[in-house]
Amino acid sequence: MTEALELKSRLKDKGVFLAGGTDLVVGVAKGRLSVEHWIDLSGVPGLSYVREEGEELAIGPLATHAMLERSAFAPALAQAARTVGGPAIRNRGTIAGNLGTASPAGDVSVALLALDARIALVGSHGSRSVPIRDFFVGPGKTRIAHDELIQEVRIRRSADSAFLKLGKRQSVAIALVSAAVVRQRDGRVAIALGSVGPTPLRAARAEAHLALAGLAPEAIGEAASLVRAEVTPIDDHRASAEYRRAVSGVLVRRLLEQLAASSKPESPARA
Amino acid sequence: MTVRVRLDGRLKDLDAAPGDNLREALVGAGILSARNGCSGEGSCGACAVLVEGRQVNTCLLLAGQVEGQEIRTVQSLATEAPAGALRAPRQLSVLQAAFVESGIVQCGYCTPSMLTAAQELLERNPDPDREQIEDALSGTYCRCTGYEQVFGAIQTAARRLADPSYAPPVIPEFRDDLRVVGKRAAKVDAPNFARGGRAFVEDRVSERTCHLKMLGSPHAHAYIKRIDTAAAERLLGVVAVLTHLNTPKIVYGSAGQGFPEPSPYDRRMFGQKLRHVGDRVAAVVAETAEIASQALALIDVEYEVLAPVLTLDDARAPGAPIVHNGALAFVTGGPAELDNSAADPRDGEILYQFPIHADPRRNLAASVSGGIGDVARGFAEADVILEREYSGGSVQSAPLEPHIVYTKMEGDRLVIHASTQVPWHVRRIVARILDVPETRIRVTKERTGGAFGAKQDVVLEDVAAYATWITGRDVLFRYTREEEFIASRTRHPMTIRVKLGARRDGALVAIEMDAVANTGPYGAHCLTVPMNACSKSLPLFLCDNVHFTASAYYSNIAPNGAYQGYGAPQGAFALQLAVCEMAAELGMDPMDLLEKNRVREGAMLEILKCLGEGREGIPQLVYSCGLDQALDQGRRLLDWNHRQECDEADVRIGKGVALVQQGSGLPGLDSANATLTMNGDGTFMLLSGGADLGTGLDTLTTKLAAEVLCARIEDIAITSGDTDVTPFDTGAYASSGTFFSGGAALNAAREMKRKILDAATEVLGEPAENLELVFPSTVRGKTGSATYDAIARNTQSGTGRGQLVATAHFIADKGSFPYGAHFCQVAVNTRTGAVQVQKYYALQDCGTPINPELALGQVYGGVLKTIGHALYEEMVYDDAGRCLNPNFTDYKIPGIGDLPDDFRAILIETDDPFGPFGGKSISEIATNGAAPAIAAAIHDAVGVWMRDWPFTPEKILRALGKLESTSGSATRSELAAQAIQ
Ligand SMILES: Cc1cc2nc3c(=O)[nH]c(=O)nc-3n(C[C@H](O)[C@H](O)[C@H](O)COP(=O)(O)OP(=O)(O)OC[C@H]3O[C@@H](n4cnc5c(N)ncnc54)[C@H](O)[C@@H]3O)c2cc1C
Ligand code: FES
Ligand code: FES
Repeated sequence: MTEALELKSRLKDKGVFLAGGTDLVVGVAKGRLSVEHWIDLSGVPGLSYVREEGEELAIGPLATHAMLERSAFAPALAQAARTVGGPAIRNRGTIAGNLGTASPAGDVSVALLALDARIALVGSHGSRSVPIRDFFVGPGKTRIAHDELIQEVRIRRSADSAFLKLGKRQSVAIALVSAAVVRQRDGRVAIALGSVGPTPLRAARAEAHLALAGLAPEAIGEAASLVRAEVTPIDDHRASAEYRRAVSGVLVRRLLEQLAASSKPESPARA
Repeated sequence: MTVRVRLDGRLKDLDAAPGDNLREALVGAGILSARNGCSGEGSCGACAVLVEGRQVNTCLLLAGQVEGQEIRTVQSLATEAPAGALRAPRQLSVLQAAFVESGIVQCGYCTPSMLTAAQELLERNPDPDREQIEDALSGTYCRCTGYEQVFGAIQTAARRLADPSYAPPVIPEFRDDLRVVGKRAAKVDAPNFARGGRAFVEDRVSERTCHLKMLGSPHAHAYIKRIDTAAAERLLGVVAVLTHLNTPKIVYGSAGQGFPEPSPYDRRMFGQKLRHVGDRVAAVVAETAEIASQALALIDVEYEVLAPVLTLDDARAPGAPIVHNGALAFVTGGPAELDNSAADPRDGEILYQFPIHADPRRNLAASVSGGIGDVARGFAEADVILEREYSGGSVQSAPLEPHIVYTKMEGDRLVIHASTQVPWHVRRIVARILDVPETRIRVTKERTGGAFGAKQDVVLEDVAAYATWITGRDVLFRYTREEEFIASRTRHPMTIRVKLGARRDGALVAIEMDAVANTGPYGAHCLTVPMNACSKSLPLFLCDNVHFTASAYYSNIAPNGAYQGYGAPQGAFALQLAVCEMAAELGMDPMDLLEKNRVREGAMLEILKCLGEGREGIPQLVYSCGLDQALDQGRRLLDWNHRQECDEADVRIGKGVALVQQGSGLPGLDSANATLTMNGDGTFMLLSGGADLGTGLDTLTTKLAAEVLCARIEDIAITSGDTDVTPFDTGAYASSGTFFSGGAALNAAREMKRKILDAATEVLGEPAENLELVFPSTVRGKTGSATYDAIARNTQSGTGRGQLVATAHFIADKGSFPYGAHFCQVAVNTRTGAVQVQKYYALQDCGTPINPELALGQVYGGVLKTIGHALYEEMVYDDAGRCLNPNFTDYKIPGIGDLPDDFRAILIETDDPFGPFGGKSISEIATNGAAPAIAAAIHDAVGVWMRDWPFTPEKILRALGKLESTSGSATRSELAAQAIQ
């Protein structure tokens, strides 16, 4: 790891960290990207783990989607990992790669955003921890400095969570819209969406509404329409903005109904 | 650098350049089975192997990343050889054998990746259920098989591994009176595919080969003003650069049809006019692929960009840009005076073999009309008249193996290793372009990794052949996946207007059909595809007053041509759905309306006399028609009259049905030949002109011969589709294989039988009428019997009558029509617009199913492709004519996860007097039902008629009034600018 960081500070922009390669090598094949030097992390030992540590889950940067989908710690994370590509992609693609790519459609990133993950970065000048809310800057852009690496991702235990994605076809597909919801143990609900803005995004107004109104059917309906107003999708060759907007509400509603059904009716938490 | 791995159980040093991916390194090490289906985007799974026991796409791995790891390919699956046993390495593992038996191996291009995925699954889960199989194969794509049979294959293997005596459930077999026809038998080429053996064009390539790369036009419509190739030519390692300035000016058509073709000769190897994005600007032939790519970048071109014509409306607009403004000429039947004064020489010229009612200056590529009875009177008699328009967008046939050709000189002769459906048409067309006699050219059809009609056209062969001819070098030209999307051949988008008149009781009294096709930049199949939209849909209904018009317009979208179904899917969508709409209008059950008007045995199809591929057609009598049983069984299976409700609040369920038909080749046009020779031990060589595209044609012809000759299938070795070795065949298109190539093999076998009996009279000393052939390979007389072995030794001895050789041909003036009924049940989510196909039953009458499990595979594959077309597949263009999704990441083809929950292909046996042992075609028909059946079911579920495929969730929400605007808001160029990722 230190070696990788040293290489990176030496090579600067000419060195590119390679994890599973499922984004990077495709980029090279498509001519979007040309790489002079690979800094292959996949051979670095000890970076591939998913470990419960008390009330937290610690995830190594090289943990693959296949590992995440087997973890019961946060259903939304496992469900999101399970929808990534086919098994061959899930066997190679990693959590750090998903975050590093910073695609608005990154499924695992959307789940992590709803789970309020903290991302530990390590660089030649030491380590720091970035809350995922501050991590994504734009499509393909993050707060990782050029000489930094994702060292670990941590999430806290939540009461319940779920993830849903709508693709162009039933199976393996890039999300037209994806959404994750999390009910914290204090009852607060978090909502994140993918493919409806330049980065995965949180539906803050809908969350605020639920904090007051709980998961009653009317509250869910209202939250869904707030989500529709909050998202900022675009038209592309996969779907129109209007469709994405409409379906964002549908997915969030369905997820919230799921949360409501699985939780005992309890009074909404007031901070 | 070298990378040390354990490869299939042995230590191996892989040679690799630093940036090489593992797939390339494996190919370098002689592993053929890691195939390249998506140009390294990780989205097809064809390149997968097991690394450390896990399924991994080798195109996404740098070779350096596997240092010290264990790699297993399909080669390692075969059971370990007992010491000294020579045959053992060719033995199949239990899993491989189960694949071969089940019919899941068609073209074989995806087979190794399916096998490795299944192997990994079985290693961690000895008894997987359907869902687990689906998950394990969810990243492994197959365009041929429709996946359904893989469940049985894997489960059979799992049970056999636990209990070697396990017998899988039997699939239906047919014709008790026959020994091999109608019975299950391994596809003859499947074991080789399952072992990852040498089979495809790319497996024939020598290390010395040069690589050809094409500079594609960046513009949809442009002239080349200036082109400078000097810098490219100077690059070390460049062998030749080809442009319109230094290549033959001969016009030709790429449609691999019988001569004289009903398609215009409207292209040159390179033209000065560019007519679609990706059209040929220049080709570089170089020592390596990298050098060829570098050289392409050095070619300097100045374009005069023209306004593109994209849609049918664009093409027909007054004053529209003219796609083909060259001089016209006719071989026969042209007008007495041709006015070419307005022609632009930069546009080249168009040569017609005979008139096809074209008017290129109005962008009209071809047209035809005709009819029977009197439609005006029919409509006057009608109580209800309904007029609707149906359309469909651009889809891809997407064979997993893109177009590929390898050409080389052998002495003074040019050898073309082709992935083609039409070896003889390739030879004819290339000979014309090179201006040499056909003696100088050999075309060898290799196994094709999927063809589906796209490989009926001469897409690459002309330019690779020319490059070899002038340089003497071996040349490999293989399309990337993107080139395959934008510059191969695919389905014509069509708009079809249907007008129906019916009496209150449901009797159809008039049908009018107007099919307009967008043929794209060149006119390959421009007359016959829209015509087929009519000729394969109208004869399903017995109506006395019918009129049709079929026409095609030039445009600047990706080139269109033949694609499985050949216009029939578009025609079926329009006519079947219109009839369904008529039923709603009349307040009738659609099944009753179909029943009342449908074709039946004994009907005379008069309409076919005006639907003859550019000439006089032949009216046909329907000798066999399995629609009675198909409709009856389908109705019961789907529980047609029972209205199904769904427990999910937002989901509605609906049912739909559609009738389908096709032909069996082209009577009066197609012709096939076959030769059987007897070997010295009484076994046979079968030389068939037929082109097996993975469909099982070689297995079919072999079985027909084995049946007649009372021989084991293993005692007949087949070679097919080689212009030097096998006799002529028009090729594999128009569903001709069973009927024509099969007919020729059958006739050759009958002739061989006569010769064997004749020769046996000498050996046995009995008159021929006392003799009969009995299994295995024996002639039995009243007094004694002789094996073929003995007969062969006798005939081939120094005093014998000579080797027994029988050649026969097959032509027809009558047709055999396969029929079918497709039933489906869909669930429509009224909030997301998503459609889930819950049940799909395809009931097909193919006469005698000669290879039952392979026939089923054709049906599953055809249906699943067209479910994809109906629901989500679509090429999206921007305003400049650029395709925005030319890859498998953005253009989705169905995966195993997209199968209907309950998917059944069912074969209905009928007795047809013409086809071999009563066989009719099965290869295209199954593509015709999905769009109309699903659209009908969507209407049944949520009450909206979807008249434009694909029926995307977004279009459905719009139709339901759940989205505010009536069409997508962004313009196409905005889409391009904003496309994410
Ligand atoms: C066919 C296919 C289907 C796919 N389907 C999906 C899908 O459904 N959903 C989805 O979300 N994604 C999908 N992906 C994308 C991809 O698999 C994921 O984004 C994956 O998680 C990327 O991980 P990786 O290890 O392969 O990343 P890599 O390609 O190795 O790297 C990606 C980026 O992350 C950076 N990076 C990697 N590790 C670190 C680190 N430790 N610190 C800092 N930067 C790092 C790299 O430098 C690079 O910029 C698909 C990809 C393919 C090819
Ligand atoms: S070639 Fe590797 S996944 Fe397609
Ligand atoms: S058999 Fe699967 S792609 Fe042809």
